[in-house]
Amino acid sequence: MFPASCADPASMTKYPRLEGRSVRTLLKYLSILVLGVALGAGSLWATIRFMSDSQFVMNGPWRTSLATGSAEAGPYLRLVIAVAGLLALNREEAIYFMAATDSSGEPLSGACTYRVSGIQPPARWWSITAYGDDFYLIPNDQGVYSASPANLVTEDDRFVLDVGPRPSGENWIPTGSARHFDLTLRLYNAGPEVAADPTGIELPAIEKVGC
Amino acid sequence: MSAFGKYVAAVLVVALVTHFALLQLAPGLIMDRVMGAIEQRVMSPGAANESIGHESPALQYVTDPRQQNINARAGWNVALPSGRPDHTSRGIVRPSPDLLYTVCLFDVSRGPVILTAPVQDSYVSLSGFAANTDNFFAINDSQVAPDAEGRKRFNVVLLGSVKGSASIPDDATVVAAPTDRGIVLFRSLVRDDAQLDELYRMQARQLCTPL
Repeated sequence: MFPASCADPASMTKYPRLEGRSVRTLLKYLSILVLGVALGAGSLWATIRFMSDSQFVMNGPWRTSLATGSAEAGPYLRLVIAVAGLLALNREEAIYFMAATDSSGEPLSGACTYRVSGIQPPARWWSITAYGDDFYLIPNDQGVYSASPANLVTEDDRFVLDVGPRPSGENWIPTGSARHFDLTLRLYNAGPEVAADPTGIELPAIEKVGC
Repeated sequence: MSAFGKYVAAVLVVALVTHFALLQLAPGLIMDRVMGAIEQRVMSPGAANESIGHESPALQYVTDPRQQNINARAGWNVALPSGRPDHTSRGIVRPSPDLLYTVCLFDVSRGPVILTAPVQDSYVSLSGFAANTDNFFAINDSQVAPDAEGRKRFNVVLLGSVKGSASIPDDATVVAAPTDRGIVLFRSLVRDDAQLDELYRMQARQLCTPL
């Protein structure tokens, strides 16, 4: 009728203890798995965040990596790019500089207007585009998202561009009601001096005008 | 080793395995997600803004039978032109508002894929991205030699693990795809809004088809 082990009073008394032990064992393995996965994923996330400093080079507020897009990108840089810049081109085709702070190192705020000024960078084509913290273009009434030789008023190769909620000059990228934004400077077919010395070329300064 | 020491060691082993497995797999998983979104978009025109951008006005100029009815086809090995990016564009992060993107999911597991397009009189590039996100090739208008009539066009054959019985045109540039599946992108620069209609006509002739 019953399995022999259940009918046996000796094993009936032993059984709960066995179960308690196996539950404890199960919990132990489960906790190893949960803690291990959390630690592994957490450390990867932290590495990616922390790595921003070591894998990229800075030129004033602008940071770049010449390994972007290429097969020589290490696994960590590859992951950073997959998250924040998927389908970016390699350096022969385009070099990307990103600025999340102004020239004094303060994070760019959507409440403030900034003056981006400098000489036209050495490239066949270049542009500066503002992105929200979701990495997409920022809604604004003017429908203007970028500045490039196509829409910039320049003087002797120099330009002055306002970025922020309110214009003050003739060149302006509106940032609507974005709370945070960052800037991407794209150099298509950049001059050889850019890849040779990305930290030494002259890039635009970013100064806070007002908030 | 004490029981606690063993426990800590086990957690660390799981953490290490998780860290490096995620590191290797994550770019591919992100790429898979983007490819899935593009595939959906190719097959359901209404979902434009949720995946890669607006439906391009280029679609009205499509005359090539290989390109017609793209919505009725499987999502692979067909070029999909997108309109000019704005703040509603999603899917490709950090889109440039100065470029028209045409995307194609390639699958060379059953034979080569040919990429052809007329080359405009300003920056246009054709680039390929492997399943692990690496940018494995890129060419632009300045690297294409004009033909006898002085016209430039892209003519690239993507070759995967299977050559099949296809005969590769003599004048095509052959590029080995490091993975059988991936993404091809055409980027056409919009220098001037007045050019847009002409660019859409060119975009309609950017092709990605099995050879």
